[in-house]
Amino acid sequence: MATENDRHNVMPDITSGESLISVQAGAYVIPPERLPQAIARYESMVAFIEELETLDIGTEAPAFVFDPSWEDR
Amino acid sequence: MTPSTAPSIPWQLTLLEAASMLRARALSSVELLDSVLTRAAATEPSVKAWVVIDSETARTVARACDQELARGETRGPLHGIPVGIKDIYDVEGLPTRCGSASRQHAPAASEDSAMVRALRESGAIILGKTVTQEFAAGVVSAPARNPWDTDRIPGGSSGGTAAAIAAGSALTGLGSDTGGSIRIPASVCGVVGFKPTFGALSLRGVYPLSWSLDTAGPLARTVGDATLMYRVLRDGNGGSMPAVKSAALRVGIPRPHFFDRLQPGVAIAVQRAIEAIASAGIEVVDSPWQEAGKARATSFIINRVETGSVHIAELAERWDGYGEELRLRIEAATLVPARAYIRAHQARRVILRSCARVFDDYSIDAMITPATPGTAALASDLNVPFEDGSREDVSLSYTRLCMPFNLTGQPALSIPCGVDERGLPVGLQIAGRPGEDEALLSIGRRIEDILGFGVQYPDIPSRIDDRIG
Repeated sequence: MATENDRHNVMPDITSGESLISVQAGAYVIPPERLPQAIARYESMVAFIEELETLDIGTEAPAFVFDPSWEDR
Repeated sequence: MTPSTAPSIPWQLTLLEAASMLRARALSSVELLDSVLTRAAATEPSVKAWVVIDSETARTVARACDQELARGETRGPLHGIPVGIKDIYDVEGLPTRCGSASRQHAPAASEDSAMVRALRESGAIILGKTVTQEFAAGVVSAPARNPWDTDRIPGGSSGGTAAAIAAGSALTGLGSDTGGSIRIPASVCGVVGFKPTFGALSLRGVYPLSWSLDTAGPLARTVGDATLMYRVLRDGNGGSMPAVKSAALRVGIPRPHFFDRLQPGVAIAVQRAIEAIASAGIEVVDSPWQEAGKARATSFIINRVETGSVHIAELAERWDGYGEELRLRIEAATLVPARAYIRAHQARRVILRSCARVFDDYSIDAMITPATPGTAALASDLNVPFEDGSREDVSLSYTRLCMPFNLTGQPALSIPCGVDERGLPVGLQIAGRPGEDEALLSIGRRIEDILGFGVQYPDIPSRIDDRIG
C-alpha cells in the first residue's frame, strides 16, 4: 500500500523549453518583493550551469532513470 | 577527543558488541535501553539530536525482546538494539514532520517505511525520530548541535542521527544521502556513515528530496556496525563478519577537486591517514579524475531542480510553514532553465564513464578523499573559514567533495581519520565501484583497523551520573 510520501515519486514533464518548475507546478509565483533574492540565489548557481556547458556530451541521451552500473559503458 | 577504552557502560558499546552480549545474555535489552535513555537525558539538553524519543514503547519492546531471548528466540541480528530514525522516514504511529513547520500537523504514519520495517523485523527497537535539516535540504540540522563542541553544527542533513550516535543516545540509526547527507554529519561528528550504491536500498515511505539522487543508508560507530546495518536493510540478514583480510589492495588519490581548498587540519589528518594506509602495505597511487568538478556541478543542478519540483506545489499552499533557506532554494530552482536540467541528465552517464575509466586505468579498488573540506562550523557563523582568510558557505563547502559520488551513484563511506587543531573530528571518504558495496565496506574495515582511531566519545557536560548497575 502506498504511503503519503509515494505521491511525490513522479517524473516531471521535461518536454518544455521553459523553466521546468513553473511549467510543472503552475501554482507558485515568486512574490515580487522576493524576486531579487531568488535571482541572486539563482545567479550563484550559474557557475555550475556554465561548468556543465564545458562538458562534451555528444549525443548522449538523458539518464532520467539512472542505472549506476558500469557494465554497459 | 578521548581515546577509547574497554566499554564499561552499555551505551558505549558498538552495535556488534551489544548484539553479541545480548545473544550471550551478558546484557539485557532493558539494561541497554535504560543506559541509552539515561545518556540521552544527560546529553539532550545540549545536543538536541532527537525530535521525539518514544521511551514507553521502546521499554515495552525491550522487555519483550528479553523474554524472547530467555526462551531462546531471536527476531534477527538487531534483536534488542535501540536505533534512531531520521525524521523523513515513516514510522508507524509517529508523524513524519521532516523538520518543517509546514508539516506541524502531519498525521501519524499509517505504516512503516521499508527500511524501518526491515529494522523492526530484524529485532531493532525504534527509539524515536532524529532531527533533520528541513526536508533533508541542507547541512545545519538545527536545533541539533555537535557533541564534540555544542557551539557547532552536527552537519546534515542526517545531523540528528549522527549527533545521537556520537553522543551515545543511539548505537546506530538511519540517514539519507542526496548530496552527502550521511557522509557529511558522519565526518564532522566523528562517526561512520555509509551511502550505498544508488538504488540498492528501498526509499518507500521516505520523503523525497531529489529522486534521481536520494539514497537510504546507515550511520554507526564502526564500519563493522555499518556493515551489519546495511545487510539488514538490504535483505534482513546480518551474516557473518569475517576477519579483515590483508589481500592486495590498491587505492587512488584523485588530486584535482577533492584536495583543493581544504582547512589545514583536514589536509594534515587526511595526509597522515594516507601515509598510514601506504605504510600498512596498501598500494596508494595518484589517480586524477578530471571530471570530478563537473560531477559536482551536475549533481548540484539535478539536486536543486528536483528539490524545487518536489516542493513547489506544497510551497504554494503552505509557504509560511517553510523556512527561509529552503523557500529561497525552491524559488531559485524555478529560474533554472529546463535545458540545464536535461543537459545534467545527459552528462550523468558521460561522467560516470569517466570515473569508471579512472578505476580501470589505474587498477584501483577505491578512491580516498577527505569527506568534507572543513570540520564542524560554528552555529553562529555558517561558513567554513580557510587559512588564506577566505570563507565558503557551509552548505556549498560540505557538499563539495561528496556530491560527485551522488552523481555517479557509487557507494561511499566516511570514517573518522583524525582531528584538527581544535580536537574536532575529520572524516575520510572512501568510494568504491557501483554494486560492490560489500567490497567497499570490507576495504573500510581494513582502513579503519590501520588507522586505529577506534570509537571515541565526546566529553559532554552531563547533568546526571549515567553509569548503571
